[in-house]
Amino acid sequence: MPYYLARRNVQGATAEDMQAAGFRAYSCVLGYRGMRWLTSIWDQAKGEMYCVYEARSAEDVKDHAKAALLPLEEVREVEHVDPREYAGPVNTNSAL
Amino acid sequence: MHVNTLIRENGVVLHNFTQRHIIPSMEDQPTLTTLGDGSGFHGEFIEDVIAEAHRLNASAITLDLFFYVFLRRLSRFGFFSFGPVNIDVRLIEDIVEATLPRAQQPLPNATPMAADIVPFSNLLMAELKRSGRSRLDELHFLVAFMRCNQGLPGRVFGELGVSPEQVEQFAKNLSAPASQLEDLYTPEEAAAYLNVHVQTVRAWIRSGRLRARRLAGQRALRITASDLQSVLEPLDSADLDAGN
Repeated sequence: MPYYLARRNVQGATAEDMQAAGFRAYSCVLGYRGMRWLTSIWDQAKGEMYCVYEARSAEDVKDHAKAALLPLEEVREVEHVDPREYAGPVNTNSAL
Repeated sequence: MHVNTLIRENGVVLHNFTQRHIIPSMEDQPTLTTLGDGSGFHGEFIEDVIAEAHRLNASAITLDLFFYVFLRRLSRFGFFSFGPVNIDVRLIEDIVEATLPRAQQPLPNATPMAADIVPFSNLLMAELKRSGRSRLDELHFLVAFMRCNQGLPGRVFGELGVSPEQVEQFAKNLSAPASQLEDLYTPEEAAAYLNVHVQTVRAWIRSGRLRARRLAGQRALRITASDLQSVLEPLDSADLDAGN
C-alpha cells in the first residue's frame, strides 16, 4: 500500500490542541480500510505538521482530514526509506 | 407517564429528564471495576462508535453519539452505574435515535466528526494529562463528558448534580489496595476490642455515639476502625486529678 505525506498548517496550536487533534486523527483512521497513521513530525517554529500515512489513496487521506476536523494543505505520495536496510556492516553509531 | 413512552408516542421530547430516570446514588454497587486502570479502552470504543454511526446512517459523529455508545458499552441491564452516577441508557438511546443528524444517502467514506467533538477532544486529552495515566481509559471519558457542559452529556450531568471529583474519588476508592482499606468490625468484635459488653456497643450505635454502617441490602452492621477509635477520649490532666 502506498505512503502519503500530509502537510498541515497548525500555526498557533498548543500542545493540548495537538493532542486533541491526535485523538481525532487516530479515531478517524479506524474508519478507513487499510489506513495506518505511521508517524507525525511537528515543526513548531514553522507552525507545520507532517503526517505519514499508509493508505489506499490520497483521496482517503484528504477525506480523513475532513472527517477528523484537521487542517490539510497538501497530500503527496512519498517513498518510505528504512534506515535498517543500510545497517549492514556500517557502524550506525559512528559520528562520521 | 414514563418518559420513554412519551418519546415513542410523540417523537422528540427532550425536556423530560427527571430524577426518576437519572438517579444519583452513592449506595449502588459499581459495575465498572476496571474504570481508571489504564487498561486501554479507546480503540474498541471508537470501533463501536463508527459501527453505530453506520447503523444509524448518521451524517456526523456527534458528541451525543459518543456519549450514548460510551454508556452502552459499559451498561448492565440497560443502566450505566458507577458510584454516584446512574443513567438509564435506554432513555439516552431513544433521544439519540430521535435527534441524530442522518445522511440523505449512505456515506461513501467514513462518517465525519461533528464540530462538538473538537472541544470534547480537548477536554479528554486535558483529562489524560491531568490524571498522569499514560493511556486513555473509561474514567478519562466519563470525567470529560462530565466537564463538557454541552449536548446530551451536559444536560444529563447537569440534572444529576454529581461532580467529577465525586466520581474520581469513587474510582480511587475502588482501586485502593486492600491494605489501604480500613478494617471492619462486627458489633461483637467491636465490643471485644473496646472491652465492653456487646449490648453497650449496640446502645451506642442506637444513640448515635458510635457510627456504624450496614452491608448493602442486609441488616448486618459493621464499624470501621476509625469510628471505633472515635469513642476513645484521651484523658486530660483535670480528669487525671479527679481520678486520683
